[in-house]
Order: sequence, then C-alpha cells, then structure tokens
Amino acid sequence: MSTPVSKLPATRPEQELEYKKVQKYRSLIELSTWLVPALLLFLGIIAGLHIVAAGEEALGTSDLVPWGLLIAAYVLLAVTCSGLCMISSLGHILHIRKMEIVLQRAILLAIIILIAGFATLATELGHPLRLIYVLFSPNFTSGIWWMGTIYGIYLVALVVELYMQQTGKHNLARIMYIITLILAVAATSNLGSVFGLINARPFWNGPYWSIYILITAIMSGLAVVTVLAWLMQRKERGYRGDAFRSSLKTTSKGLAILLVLTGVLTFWKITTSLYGGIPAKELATLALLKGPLAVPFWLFEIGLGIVVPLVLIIAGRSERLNYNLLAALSSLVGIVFMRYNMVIAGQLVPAGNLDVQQAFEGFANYLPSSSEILVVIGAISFIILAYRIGEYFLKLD
Amino acid sequence: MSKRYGFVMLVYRCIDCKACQVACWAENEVPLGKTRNWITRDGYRGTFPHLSVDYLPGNCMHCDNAPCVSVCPTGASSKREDGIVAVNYKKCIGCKYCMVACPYDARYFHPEKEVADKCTMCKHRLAEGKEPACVTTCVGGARVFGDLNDPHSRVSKLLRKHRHKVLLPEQGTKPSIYYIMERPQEGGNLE
Ligand code: SF4
Ligand code: SF4
Repeated sequence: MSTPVSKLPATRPEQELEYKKVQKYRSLIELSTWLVPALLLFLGIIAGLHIVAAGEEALGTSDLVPWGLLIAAYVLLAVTCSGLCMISSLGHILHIRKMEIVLQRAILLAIIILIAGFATLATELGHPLRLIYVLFSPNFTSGIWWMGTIYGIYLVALVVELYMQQTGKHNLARIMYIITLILAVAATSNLGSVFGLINARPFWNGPYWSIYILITAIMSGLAVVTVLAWLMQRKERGYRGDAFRSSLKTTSKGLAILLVLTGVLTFWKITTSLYGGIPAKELATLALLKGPLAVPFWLFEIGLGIVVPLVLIIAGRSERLNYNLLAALSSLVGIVFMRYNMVIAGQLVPAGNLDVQQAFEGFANYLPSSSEILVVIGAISFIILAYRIGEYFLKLD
Repeated sequence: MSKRYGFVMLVYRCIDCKACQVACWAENEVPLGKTRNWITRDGYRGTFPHLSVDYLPGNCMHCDNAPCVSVCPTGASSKREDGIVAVNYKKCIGCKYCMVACPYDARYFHPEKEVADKCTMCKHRLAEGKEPACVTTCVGGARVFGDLNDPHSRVSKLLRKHRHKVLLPEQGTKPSIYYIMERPQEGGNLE
C-alpha cells in the first residue's frame, strides 16, 4: 500500500539542497553527453577537411601500405551496421519477443553507422564526390564495385524499412526485414571478398574473410545492442525497463556464443597461416603474433575482444547487467582492433619483394596519423549524437 | 592482328646504372620519392671467387591478365588493344585497390593528382613513333621494346631464339615483360 502524500515526512531544507545539487550535477552530465561528442565531431570534421586538403601527407599510409586506419574504420562501421540489421531482421522474422524493444533502435543505429562509414571512406578517397564515379562507370569484376553498390542500395532499403516502421505500415515493413537481411548478408560477405579476391596477398586470399566478417558482424551488432539496452534500462522504469533488461540478457548470451565462434575461427586462421611456412602468409601472421601488431592483437583483439568479455558474461551468468555492459564495451574495443589488424596485417609484407639479394626483411611501416585517428573519433561521436537526436524525434517502440 | 607491346630484358646487358629510372623521372614528371621503374637483383651465379650477379630491370608488367584491371571499381585501369595497361586519371577515385592487388608493387599514389599511377609505356612517345624513354636511354641496351605480335620485331625474334622467363609466373598475371637470362660468349652478342 502506498503512503498518502500528506503523510510523507516533509523534506528538510538540507535534503532539498542536496537534491538540487544532484539535479544540477545530473543536468551537467546530461549536457556534457551532448557537448563532448559535438566537440569531438567538430575536431573530426576539421581533421577530415585537413585530409581532403593535404591528401597523402595527412595520412600514415604509403605505397607499400596503401590502406590504413580509415579503411579499417569503414570496414568496422559497415560491418557493425550489417550486424545490427541482421539482428533486427532476424529478431522480427523469428519473433524473438525478448529483443523486440531494441529492434527498431537497431535499425536507426544501423543507418547512422553506415552513413558514418561512408563519410569515413569518402574522407580517405580525398575527393568525396569521386564516389559517384563508382555508379556511372562500373566495372563488374571489381569487388569494391559490388561492395559499394550493394551497401548503397542497402542504405536506401534501411531508410525505407525505418520509414515503414515509423508510419505503421507493418506488412510492408515485414517484407523489408527480409530484403534488408538478404542485403546485409550480401553486402557483408562482399566486403570480405574485397580482401579475399586479392591473389597478391596470401594472408587475405580465399573465402575465409567473407565468412569471418559475417560472423563477427553479428557479434559487433549484438555488442552494440547490449550497450544500448543497458543505457535504456537505466532511464526507463516499470515494464519498459524490464523489457530492456530482459533483452540485454538475451543479447549477452548471443554475444557469448559468437565470441567463442570468433575465437575458434581466429585460432584456425592463425594455425593454417603458419602451417607449411608459406612466406607471405606466415610473415603476416607473425606480424600479429610477435611483430608490430602484437599489442593490438594479443592485448586488444584477443584479450579485450574475446577473453575479457567471455569471462565477464560467464562470471555473471549473463544475468548481471553491469557485467554484460562491461563485456559488450570490452568486445567493442576489441572489434575496433580486430578490423585494424585484419586490414593492416595483409599489407605489412610487401607483395612484390622482387630483389633476391636484398629481399625485404621485417615488415612495412604503418602508424595511423593523428588526423586519421581524429576522423574515426569524429565518426563515432557523430553516431552518438545522431542517435540521440533520432531517439528524441522518432517513436522507436 | 592488333599490336601487343612488350619488353624483352637482356639481363646480361644491365649494369645497374639506373639511367632508365632517371630518364623516366624526367620524361614523366614522376613525383619525388616515387618511381615507375626499378632494378632488382637476382641470386648469385657461379662459385666463389668467380661470382657474378644479374640485374633485372623492371616496371609495370602490363599484364595480359592484370589484377589491377579486374579490381578497379570504375574501369579507370584498363587493358588497351595494344597491350598497354593504362590509367584514366579522370575516372580514378583513388581507392588504391589496384595498389593492393598488384603482385609486383608496380604502382604508386600520385600525391598531387591523387590517383594510382604507374608506367604507361610512354604512350605519348609511342604516338609520336618513339620508343619509351627508359629504352632510348638504356646505356647497355638491356631494355628492348616492341610489338610481341609482330613476328619480325626484335622482341619476337629474341623470344623465339632464347629461353626466357617472366616474374612471379605463379600469380597467373601473364606479364608483357620477358627476361632472357642467357649470357653470350665473352665479348659476344645474343642476337
Ligand atoms: S604489373 Fe601491376 S600495375 Fe602493372 S599491369 Fe600488372 S598488376 Fe597492373
Ligand atoms: S585507385 Fe584508381 S585505378 Fe586504382 S583501383 Fe582505384 S579507381 Fe582504379
């Protein structure tokens, strides 16, 4: 039985003061959650403009390592977008009740993340408008052409899907779930094939990355949705809060399964690349194991990306919300490095290496420039800001 | 039959003077720190103390099955009728896919034009009836240029007469640069 308002003890002046202080503190935090990403986005835009203006000079890339952090960031964002979409579509198609409350939000996030991905790619190209040539002058044997085109169509399809959901056209939305699921699988595996089709880079060549990227796409999607559900359950009370908490536990379970799968895939990739000592494959793998990528690989990709989240989810039996949040955040940090390692490791061993007398030993150099890093931080800040604005204006339940 | 331009490198004639590199830099205004052609070294020949080393002049192999052409999303890189693998700067979006895909690391990124650039076989000189600058300038006469489809051309005759090889044949790129590793008798000539 609730206590009648008149019988509640009157708040003492000190208590009221305390309350006001807390409120002030809260609104300061709230304000900073807008201001900090806005500032970082601004810095990211400046860095992006610097790259467009200064070109190669502003990048850490070279002729030996032509693809750097910005390409890795594009892969990261495009793949996370696909993962979110796959989760949303599968959730709707398979009627996973426990996840319902996050599914529309996943689509909004997918759209925003893909826009951020395209912006990153356009920055790397130097001339953002150059992307248009891909449409007007197609080469159908190019992996990048297929990847870019499918992702372009996919972005439009995602917007249509969100529009259908927003306007209550549920039957049409249901068709879109299937269409976007197919597009997500096609786009993501195609992105893997951009690397897999290159014969000159044995570490990349083959179907492995198409499969790996598909599986890790779902993993990154689940990690993002877990973080999102955690944030939402803090704000919401009653039924809605419970719904977020329940979906958070479900996505964490899924995350744990995918972490194990990714661990197994990584183990066999490393083992098969070392086995037999095929030079370029072996060297690229050694770059990860004990070369220039050892810290990003062991500490971030494996440690923070796989081991820590798995331990956290298992320790909390996927029931402890804060453990699940930490696990998702940790795996997201790992995923950033996972994409970086994949893109860079394939290039650290020069393809040509034609001089027998002075064969290139060791590894090519690549370190991201500060502008590249700022663009990536700006892209992530854009995602946070745009999502918050979307959450404010759209009906996402 | 259409032309198929290519190079035959008479390896024994290369003295590693790098004049071809200098000529190319000047002719094609290659940006500082970049190069369209190179000299690499093969393994040692002979037994100590009578050792020698072969120098292999190289540049874009103008592959018949060019990975850079297959991967280019806009068709900016294309194989022309006459065998030249050319880059259309207007269409190049600077994605660098060709650079990643070339097994010979033959391309560089042009910092001002912001395109993936490489050897063009001096097509502007060919149009004027001249040979590529690296061939004209080659001190030892190691670089031989011509139409591989013309049975009477010097390149065709050399290839008919002598054993030759291409670089990285396992890549399946079918290069248009052939290397003749044979050496003539002391003071002699291969032709
Ligand atoms: S050598 Fe490289 S750049 Fe030249 S045609 Fe072959 S793949 Fe293309
Ligand atoms: S950098 Fe230019 S030439 Fe090379 S693949 Fe991209 S668009 Fe084609």
